[in-house]
Amino acid sequence: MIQLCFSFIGILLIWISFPSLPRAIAQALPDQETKLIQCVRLAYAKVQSEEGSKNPDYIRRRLETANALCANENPSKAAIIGQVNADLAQAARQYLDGSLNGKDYLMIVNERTGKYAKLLNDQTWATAYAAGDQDQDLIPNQFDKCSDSPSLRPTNQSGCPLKCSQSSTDPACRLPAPSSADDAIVKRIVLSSKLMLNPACDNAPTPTQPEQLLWGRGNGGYNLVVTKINNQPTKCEVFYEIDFRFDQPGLSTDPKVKYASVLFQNSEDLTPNDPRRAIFNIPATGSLPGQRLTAQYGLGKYLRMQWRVRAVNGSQKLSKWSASRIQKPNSSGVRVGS
Amino acid sequence: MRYKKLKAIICLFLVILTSLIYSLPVYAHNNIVHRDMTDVAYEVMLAFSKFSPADVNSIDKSPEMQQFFKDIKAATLKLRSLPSGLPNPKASTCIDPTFAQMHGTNTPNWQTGGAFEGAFEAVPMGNVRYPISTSYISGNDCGIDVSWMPGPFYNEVNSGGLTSRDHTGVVLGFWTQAVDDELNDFHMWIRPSNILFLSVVKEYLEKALGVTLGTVWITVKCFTSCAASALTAGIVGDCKKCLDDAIKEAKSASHDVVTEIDGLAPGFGDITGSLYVGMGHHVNVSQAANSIVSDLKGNYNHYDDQPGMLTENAGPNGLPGNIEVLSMAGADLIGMSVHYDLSLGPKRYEVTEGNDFHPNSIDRSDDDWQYLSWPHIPFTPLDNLAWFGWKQFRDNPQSNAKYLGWPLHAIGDATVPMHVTGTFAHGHRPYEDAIENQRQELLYGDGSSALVRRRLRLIMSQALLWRKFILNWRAKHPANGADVPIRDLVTQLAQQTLSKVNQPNLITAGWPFNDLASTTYLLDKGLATGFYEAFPGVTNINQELLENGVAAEIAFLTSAAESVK
Repeated sequence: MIQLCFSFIGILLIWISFPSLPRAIAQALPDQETKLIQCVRLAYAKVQSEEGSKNPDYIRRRLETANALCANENPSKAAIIGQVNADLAQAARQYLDGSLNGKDYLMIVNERTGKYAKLLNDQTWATAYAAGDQDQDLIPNQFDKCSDSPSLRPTNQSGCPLKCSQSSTDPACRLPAPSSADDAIVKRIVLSSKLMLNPACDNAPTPTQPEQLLWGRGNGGYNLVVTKINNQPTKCEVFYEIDFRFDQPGLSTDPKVKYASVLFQNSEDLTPNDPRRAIFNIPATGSLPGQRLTAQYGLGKYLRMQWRVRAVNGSQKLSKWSASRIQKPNSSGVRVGS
Repeated sequence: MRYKKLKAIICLFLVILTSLIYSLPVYAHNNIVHRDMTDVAYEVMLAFSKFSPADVNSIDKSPEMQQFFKDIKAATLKLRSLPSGLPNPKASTCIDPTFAQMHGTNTPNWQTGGAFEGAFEAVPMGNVRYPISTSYISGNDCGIDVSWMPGPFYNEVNSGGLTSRDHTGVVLGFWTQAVDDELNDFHMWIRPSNILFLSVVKEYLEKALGVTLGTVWITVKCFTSCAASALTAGIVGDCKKCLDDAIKEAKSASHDVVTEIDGLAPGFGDITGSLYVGMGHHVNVSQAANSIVSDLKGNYNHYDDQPGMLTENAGPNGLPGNIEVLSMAGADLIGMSVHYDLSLGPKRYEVTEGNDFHPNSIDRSDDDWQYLSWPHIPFTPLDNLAWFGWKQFRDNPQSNAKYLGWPLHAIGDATVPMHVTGTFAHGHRPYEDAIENQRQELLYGDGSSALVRRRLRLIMSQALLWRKFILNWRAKHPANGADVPIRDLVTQLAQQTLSKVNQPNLITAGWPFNDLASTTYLLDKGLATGFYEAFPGVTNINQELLENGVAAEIAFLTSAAESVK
């Protein structure tokens, strides 16, 4: 009874905690999709009372299945879809948290999607699957010679755990695989990459494509003039990413080509009231963070500069790059204000 | 207990959210390269429409070449007369000061009065008064590329000033690159099974960001920490700390580059953008990759004779690059699928009745497109994209010049090694950036007239081969009239591209397929691009790839114009 009561409260809490769901989504989704989401939400509420509701993989499988059912799929096919998507999600999570290496991850992905293709296209297998798959390895019990394969463990077509050796003929064993060096690279990306978030940019359109206009000395440094982005909602920040390519070094000791990428925030625009142009400054002297220092050096010491620009909003919606262009500094400079 | 659960859900979502970072974009050849390839193709046609074989030293004087000259001349006339299909410019005045310097005013005079009053799109391509920019539609300026010139040697052929040159090549080139603006080709969405988590986390983030509503940069490590604690303790420890740090840092830190997560930042509902357009811009002609797919999955997900992009088996050997594997994990965690109803691509690029003697696509249902996350979906191949545009043009050339852009775009992409092996990793982005940076050198060498003429002869020889390819097909299929076997042509070009770069010594040295370059690009674009720019001994190959594409475009445009009455 207490458990039932908790479940009810839980459902209520979850329901209450999603007030923004229809609001947030309705703006972007047609009615049909909103209905689909509501259908899945009802399924979610139901899952809360089921044994296994503490297991995220179980919840995922139930929701993926519900998703297909809510889209009017037949139950046996929905079960296949739910199982495959839940397995793929589980494998993905393990890969991303480092508990599964790239080789094993790819093996699982290919094995699962291979079985998915077979189940959806082979009526005999589909019918057998509907009758049962005890160990959830996507091999129907009727054909499964090892009916207790561990969760997520790749199997052969007989449902027994795949054991690859030099003489293995199973195609999954011949799958090219990432190396441990690749795993280290992936780890590095996970450690160093950043994701931009800004709720004010929800439902914002793709920024228009900026163009680089001119550049030249001014305001104690180098002023870069680009067309302004003005199609974003208020408070949704816009960034201008500028790629520089410098060649023809003034000093023989400098590398022949130097690159820099700098991200300017719209708050750095020297002409905030100009509706069509944005101007960004890189000081000619002094210490600067990151690649701004490289850009400062290139602008001062190299004889030729090629550049391009694109815009990105706070939710990482990107414009296309402008065409890269070699451009000399404006002979009369680019000055802003007095 | 429930509170913990809610926290766990929030954290789980954060993990899912993290996965967005891995879902990387798929680009076509950089826009300006597409534009320039088509423009050069037209300038070559213009040059040869003014010459005869006898005027050109060392060129093939065969009857076929002589006929080709005549055909080219007829084609340029027809192309020039086709309505451009351009909408009105976005702005009536130019913000670019160079325009005012060159023109004495910042207000262009498009001279669209008279017969074309109020019907800008009806202005013939040859009468478009200014060279239009690649951002003519997607930008917010007047849409004029003041820096455009026909190029060394071609300046003599297509001579004049800013308003007096023939801009047909620029307009065609514009439509070629504009295929990347077809944002409706592929829409994504988060399956409802996962969007519940998204809404919870969105609320959490909004509360965390409070009234500042700034942009917060959250490390993937941060998300990973949250993943570790999500199911046990919620947002605590490292997870909480790094989120707090990110919010504090938002106001002070400066950043250099946008991590290439391009648009897959947290969002609700429909997800689209230039990032997903390119999913139909690949064809994997690698036998090694395709045999792996066949071995593992039989013919179940072979929908076309040559598959398009299938991320789980992308690349020249069927081994996806690291960013592709990460994208796949991200998409699976978040449940990101193609949104069939909103996506035009599946409807446009499945060719079930091509009537061109090329194998047709096997028809797919919406389920086949959207039940699994996108990395497990075989996207339609590049040659089908070409066919779609060609069909629109062929059936109504007078009002559909823009659709020439599709086959021309496909031809351009078929010269990129990564596009013909269905991968957006393996060095795809830095390779294309390097080609963009070096495009002038690759297309015109040192710019001397003699060198350009020599390259031009080579291009024409190659173009004649492509023209014969088309004519032979027509001879075999007389009932198809002036049809163009564009799917065959793009597939053949893609195979030639792979064959040209598939040199064991180069492959071993990491060119052109270099997955490390793609991951390096995430952190240091210059370093990755510089690798390709400085790679020794491949300039000729890059040149051949581009010129083969230009040659194919010449043959295609010449043949396509024959369907214009």
